[in-house]
Amino acid sequence: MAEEVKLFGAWGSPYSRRIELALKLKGLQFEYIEEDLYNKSPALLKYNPVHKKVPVLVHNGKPVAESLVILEYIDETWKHNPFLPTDPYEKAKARFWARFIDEKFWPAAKKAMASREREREEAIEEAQQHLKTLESELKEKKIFGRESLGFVDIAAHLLVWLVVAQEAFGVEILTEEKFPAVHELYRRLADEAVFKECMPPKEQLIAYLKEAIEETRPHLKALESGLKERKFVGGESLGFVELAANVIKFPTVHEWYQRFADDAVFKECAPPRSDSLPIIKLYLEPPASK
Amino acid sequence: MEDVKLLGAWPSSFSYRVIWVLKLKGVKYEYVEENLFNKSDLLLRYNPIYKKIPVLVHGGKPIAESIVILEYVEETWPQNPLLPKDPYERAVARFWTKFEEHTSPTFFSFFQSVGEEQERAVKEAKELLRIIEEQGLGEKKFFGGEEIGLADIAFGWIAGWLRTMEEAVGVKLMEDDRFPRLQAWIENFKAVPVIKENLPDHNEMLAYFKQRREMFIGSATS
Repeated sequence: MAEEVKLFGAWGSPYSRRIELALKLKGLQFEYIEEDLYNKSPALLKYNPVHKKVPVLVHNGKPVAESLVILEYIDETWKHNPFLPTDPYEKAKARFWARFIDEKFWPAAKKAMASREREREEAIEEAQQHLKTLESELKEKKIFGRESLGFVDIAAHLLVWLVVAQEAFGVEILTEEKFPAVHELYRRLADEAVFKECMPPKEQLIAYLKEAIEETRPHLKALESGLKERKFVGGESLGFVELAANVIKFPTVHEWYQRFADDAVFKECAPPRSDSLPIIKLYLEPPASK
Repeated sequence: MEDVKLLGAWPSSFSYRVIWVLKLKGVKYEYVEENLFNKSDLLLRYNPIYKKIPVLVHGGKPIAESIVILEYVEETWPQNPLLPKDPYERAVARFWTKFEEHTSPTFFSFFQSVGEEQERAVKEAKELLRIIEEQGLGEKKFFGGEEIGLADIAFGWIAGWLRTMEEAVGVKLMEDDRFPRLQAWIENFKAVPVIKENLPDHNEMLAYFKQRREMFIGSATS
């Protein structure tokens, strides 16, 4: 039977891209299906009913979800160019570091992007603590893998996202001066030919990340024009939390709405919350669920 | 034969996971009880990043993170395997093991919070138990099939700890007859000899959990 490999992914997702990466490192043919995360396909919902998320790998009709689980599956199914070392202790270390990146480092980095002021400063500090840990683990080694890019390096691919996000949000976490070894790994990952194929062009990614913030604008524009007759413009922060929560589920919207709500012009026109809340609620009656 | 040491703590289900697997595979080990309120230099040296138990030390080399430890034990002592040979079935077992990890915050919240926050946690926890029962366990006797496997070990806390947590908090998550298959799994899991002989004493656990619960209520309402 011919081997059939499908990957359900989203081009902006680092977890999705790391699987593309893994498949390409193994030289595997696969069919890529781009998912619209606001309009998930029946196939995705069928293959990952528990989380309804990408990436999902479907091999000869059988689905595998959770990116690190998928990486292990790929490595065990196609044994050439192994990602994981054979020695059980070295393997344990690789699993440990991949989890550290996913569960400690990345959430802190995302929080730093999404939050503001004190919260942001604290998140940046936390993310940098974790980078320090990675830095001392890397030290003189150029990459985490033995001779070639391995399991942890594939997980670390999201550093490329970090650097782009830093530019998009004006946040500094990973710098060459502070973390030379990690920075060099990032460079290696960004320059690696196979990896390059798996990265959207930088400008495209920055635009995507910024759009994630901007996406609420058309909704709010509509809201604004509709409500102008009712002499309502903007509102207090809490009103916008509900708005953001109802319309989009990006954490970066939180930051966007805060800038919006803090804007002097809006503040001048804001009625007391008790007046504005019922109006917002009326306007935001959720459409029939998709 | 290199020596094996396990740094653990008696109330911790994570600690018990490793005990179960070492015993299932017949691996001799030295157990070191850690006081989590006064961590030893040894623990801080062996797990400087998380400073948590369990930590397995094999021939002087430390491994932290319970699931990472379990996979290591599985590969180093392959007898009585926890994982099937087929890569796809291994992926399914690992998926559910990861799922269990992601449920932790909800169950912590159930135990640690009060009022509205707790109500939310209770609702979410029941939904998670439903998913675990229907999609994880399904019609099988164990998550691993006919025999217990990695995912069963990962969900082991439901068999040995959940009831006690419910008692300490005074709220039932697994109301009678609402989760018949999960209930049956609990009985079957606890009947496995290694598990049966290695569960914490119920009364001691209850006293400990009640104490912790008081502490959390105290800080939540102060």
